[in-house]
Amino acid sequence: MSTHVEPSVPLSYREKLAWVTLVVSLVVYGMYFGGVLFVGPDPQIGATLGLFIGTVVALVVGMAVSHAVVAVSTPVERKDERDAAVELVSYRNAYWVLVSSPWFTLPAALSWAGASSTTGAGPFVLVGHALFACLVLSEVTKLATQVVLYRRRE
Amino acid sequence: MAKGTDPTRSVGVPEAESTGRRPVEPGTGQRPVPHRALDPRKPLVVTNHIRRMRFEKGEMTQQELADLVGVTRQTINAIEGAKYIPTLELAFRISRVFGVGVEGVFEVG
Repeated sequence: MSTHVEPSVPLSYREKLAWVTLVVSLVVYGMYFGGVLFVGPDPQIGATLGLFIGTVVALVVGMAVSHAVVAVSTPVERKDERDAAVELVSYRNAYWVLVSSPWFTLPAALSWAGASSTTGAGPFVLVGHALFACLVLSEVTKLATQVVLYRRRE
Repeated sequence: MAKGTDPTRSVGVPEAESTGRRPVEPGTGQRPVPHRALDPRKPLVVTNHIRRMRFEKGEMTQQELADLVGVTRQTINAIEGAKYIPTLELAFRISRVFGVGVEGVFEVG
């Protein structure tokens, strides 16, 4: 019997990408929706617009830096069949979250608008936040599914 | 399927020699595994001998095998650990590396 010991398997390039994208998304979007809750229904849209632009900038910078770090530290690998299989399942899960989450977020947003007696553009802004939350939830679901499937039974 | 038929019953099992052992398949030097119909009610369990065959082939590393068949080392590791069932194409590529048929590398139980 050979005494050759296979070194431990490091994370693959795409698994690392999934991790950093998930972390950056959670941080940036968490700050965004935290700001939304802090600002509250905004009839003037101004504060909300500033928050949204800041989030986009933070997201772009965060993704660029994190992806660059991963690309430098890990050899870039072509997507193989296992990566494709993981991606298929993750997109499927994200789809179900995307189509079902508006049923929960929209009523919540409209209830908040009604409870706070906001006027003007406030209710529309809240609806916009709710729909954006659905997109964020589906994206986070996709990334979390990838991370779980890559690490399954390891 | 006929009523009362056991789906896992052996079918097409070649007759044993007088010694009681299954005859060796010409060209491969292997004794074929009796073909049993798989029970569709049970999940498929696919095991493999890739790790042993790598060691027997000059202590080939997972990375070397991965490069030969066009996947990542992590995929080979997942296949060896039975955490991922490869596609038919990849199974054929792996078995070609070792010079045997697919059933020489993978087993279904």
